[in-house]
Amino acid sequence: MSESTDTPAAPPADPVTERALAVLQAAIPDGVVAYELTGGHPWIQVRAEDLRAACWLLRDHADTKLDCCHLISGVDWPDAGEGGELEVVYHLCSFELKPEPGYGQRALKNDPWVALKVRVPRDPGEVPTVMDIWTGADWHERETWDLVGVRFTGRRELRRILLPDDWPGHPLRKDWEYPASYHGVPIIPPEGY
Amino acid sequence: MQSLLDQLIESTSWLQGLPVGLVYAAGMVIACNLVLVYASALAGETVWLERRVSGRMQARIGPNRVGPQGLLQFLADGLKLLGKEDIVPKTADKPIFLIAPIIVFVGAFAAFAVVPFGHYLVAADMNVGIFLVLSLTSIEVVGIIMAGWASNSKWAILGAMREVAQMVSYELPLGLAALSIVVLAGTMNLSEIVYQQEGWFWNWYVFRGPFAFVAFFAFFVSALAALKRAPFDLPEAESELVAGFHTEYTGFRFAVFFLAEYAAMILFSMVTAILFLGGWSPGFDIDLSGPLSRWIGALILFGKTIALLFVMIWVRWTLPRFRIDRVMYLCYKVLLPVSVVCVVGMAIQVLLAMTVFGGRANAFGTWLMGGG
Amino acid sequence: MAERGPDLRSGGEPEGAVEIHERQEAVGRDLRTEEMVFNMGPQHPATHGVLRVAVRTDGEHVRALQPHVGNIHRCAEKIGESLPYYQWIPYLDRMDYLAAICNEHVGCMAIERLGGIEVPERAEYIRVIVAEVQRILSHLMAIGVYGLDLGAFTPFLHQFRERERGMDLLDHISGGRLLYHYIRIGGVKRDLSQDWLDELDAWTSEVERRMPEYNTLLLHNRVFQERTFRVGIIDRDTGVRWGVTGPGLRAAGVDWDCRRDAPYSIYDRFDFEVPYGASDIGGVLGDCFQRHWIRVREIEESLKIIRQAREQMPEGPVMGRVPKGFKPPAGEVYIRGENPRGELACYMVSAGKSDKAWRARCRGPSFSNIACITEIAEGQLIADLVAIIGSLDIVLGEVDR
Repeated sequence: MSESTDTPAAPPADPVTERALAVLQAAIPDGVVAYELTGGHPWIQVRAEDLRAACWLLRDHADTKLDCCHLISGVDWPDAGEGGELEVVYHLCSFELKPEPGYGQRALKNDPWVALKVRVPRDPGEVPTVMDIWTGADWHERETWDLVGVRFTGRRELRRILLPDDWPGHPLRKDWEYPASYHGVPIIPPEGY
Repeated sequence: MQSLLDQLIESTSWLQGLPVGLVYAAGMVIACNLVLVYASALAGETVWLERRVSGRMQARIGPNRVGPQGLLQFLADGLKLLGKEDIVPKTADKPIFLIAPIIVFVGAFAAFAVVPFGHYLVAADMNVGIFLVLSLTSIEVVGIIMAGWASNSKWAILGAMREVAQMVSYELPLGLAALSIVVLAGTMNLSEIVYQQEGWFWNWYVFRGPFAFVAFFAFFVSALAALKRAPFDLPEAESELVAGFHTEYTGFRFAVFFLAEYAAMILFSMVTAILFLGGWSPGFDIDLSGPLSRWIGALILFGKTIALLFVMIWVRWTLPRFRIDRVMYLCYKVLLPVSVVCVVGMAIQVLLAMTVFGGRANAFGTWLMGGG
Repeated sequence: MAERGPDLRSGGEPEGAVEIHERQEAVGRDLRTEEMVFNMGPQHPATHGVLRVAVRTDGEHVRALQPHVGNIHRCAEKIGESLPYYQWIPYLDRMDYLAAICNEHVGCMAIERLGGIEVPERAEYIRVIVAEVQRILSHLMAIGVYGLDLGAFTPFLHQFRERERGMDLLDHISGGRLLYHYIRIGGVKRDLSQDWLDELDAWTSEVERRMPEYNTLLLHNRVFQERTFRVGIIDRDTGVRWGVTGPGLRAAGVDWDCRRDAPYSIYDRFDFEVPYGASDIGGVLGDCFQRHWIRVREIEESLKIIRQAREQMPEGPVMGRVPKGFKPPAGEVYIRGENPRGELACYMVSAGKSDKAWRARCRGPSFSNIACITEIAEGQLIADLVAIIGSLDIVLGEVDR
């Protein structure tokens, strides 16, 4: 979780992520907040307000062509920043651009996906939608709202998808407490929770 | 039947003392009951046959516990269904809901009255036999749309809709294929049609010329569709419409639908055997009209019926289901033209047999024109 | 109207469609017609579980539809955060219960990558063998149930015969028939015996022998082809946009298989083909038939992989060194693997100093695959909707997790 430093001794950077970073830095220089290019899970973090621009770029730019939004995950970091932060991670991949030969043999990361991160304050936790960029993001966003409580703005009907519509709170937030009962049915939290 | 009763009256002295009408009426009631029992038991056994055959086809065993080889399974099933609660949905149109299975049942079973099981073994030997069979079986449609509508269930109404579309459509090729045999036979009396096919198997109507041969397949396929058997089982496609028009039926009302379906299967197999496959004629020249040998004839017809039933079962457990548009395509664009050609071709064949081939004067002419 | 149905379906050419709409409107003027809303599911024979699809229909035609999921949500991700890593593995089984081994495989790989655990060579081979056995079982089920959806009952039960024997195989090594918990962090639970391997050989040759028989019943069956050709077309653009993966995407003409293109485990050591695109039997790219065909072909390829792995398998231990009280350092990992239904991905975040994950996120392939039916099933017949849902081969345990 640290900014990368260009020391010569550093392990090789992930070429796919490197290319995506170059594309982003060329178009929206202020947008990229932090990045990590090495290791098993390289990532690029962008500002929330630049997210949509970054996504359009990554999808349509000839160097990246990330045409599939593989997964959207929300992570709750209650201790980060002031009053906690929500992190939304977009794992993007491309079915159009094949990685260069030999990419699959890399030891730490042999899979050509790109992780795009955005961090917003826990309250209100608003992130612009990418549903119009990748249609498949629709259900992933609904799920992230449902379980983590990330409010995706600018999209239609942000409804719960897995939990009942009247379920209290978002269970994957770290401060979420088991309700005492749901519709009169008492809920016994698991032991050790 | 009448002739049978006449024989009976002649030979029995105490019957001669009774009014003739009473004897006739009593005879008819007894005969109809016998036919009903026979048909019901046969329908039940067809269920057993279907389950065993499909079991064999699917690498499993099938029912084999109740009775020898599970032959009495249908009784156990019937008893079980009798014991079930008869649920009428709250929003159903109650009187129609209750009466619908009865209409379907009547439609399927009434037609057995005119079907000869053997020489003289017929409840009502009518001159409009085949006509009556086709019209009585179309009553079933009324019962089914009543059931679908009155259930007030969306799956049921959709199933009933499909059923009506399908059955009404397939009545046309069915009727026309039968009509081509009527043209050949010159009669609609089912017993009469069998008499004309007696003798060697090339006398069977299916072998009398190309048109009859094609009509046989048109008739059988249309019958499959009219019976809503797979691959035409769209009205009750369980993977699409849950159970189609009888989704909301439980207990004995469901059993009645079930029984009616199998009775109709037997009916059409039997009618196909009579129209095309020589009825109770064994396929070689032998006289089966004696009082005892007619029962052998009945057995032969039974065997042919079972063979056709087996084909129906075989097809059902092999093929996937058609889609509604393909079903309609098959009906209106394939079977209907084919059966029209059969009727016209058959008329020409009979005409040619009368004129060119010398009609009844030589054997070939007689073979070609049947009774027409 | 009925015989014009396929024109509407193929999507592109509206020449007949316009006419039909005009005619329907003419009917509508004279006759009061109404669109009807069906609830297909959660209890319906063709929704493969507890999927509920609200369908607005005009007679037999589907005008709009909305799938509703979540009926069997079992909090897999919440459990993943609440339990130690190794205790989460059995819950992965229960996500895609028809491909439990494949789920375990991806989940264990993610955790191993997170903690830097080495897996012995032999264990990797065993993992590949059981995962491919599982893939065949899953595809057999998918093919058979697809026949059932289309009204062919017999192929389903025939395939159950082979599936039963395959499940016995996995039963013998793990003790479970459906949910195995066989792959563990650092290796696998038990070594394979020679008897088991002989049994495996017998089974693979049996499956190979039977496949042509099943293909006669379904793949080369005219009625089956009529039901699936040009139905439910997912073209390349639609598939990629919706995140469809697995056979659904390969049927759309995308030449991509994680096992070959982003090889995890030891898949790069095997020689196998990735079937994609349209078959030469008929139909068009991306229709239901191609998805079915891809599954049939993948069974053959899986058999190849099993044979190769069986030959190459070295001797050695099957369990690596896993520290007691396994606490991986802070970090994240994203692993995806090719499940029978598509790409299962596992995103794990560790905050360090804990034996529990900070975030355990799974991407169920069915979740993304089923989402696209809103688009592809519009305007089709109800019978086709059943065919489409069946051809996507969803497992609701994985959609709802």
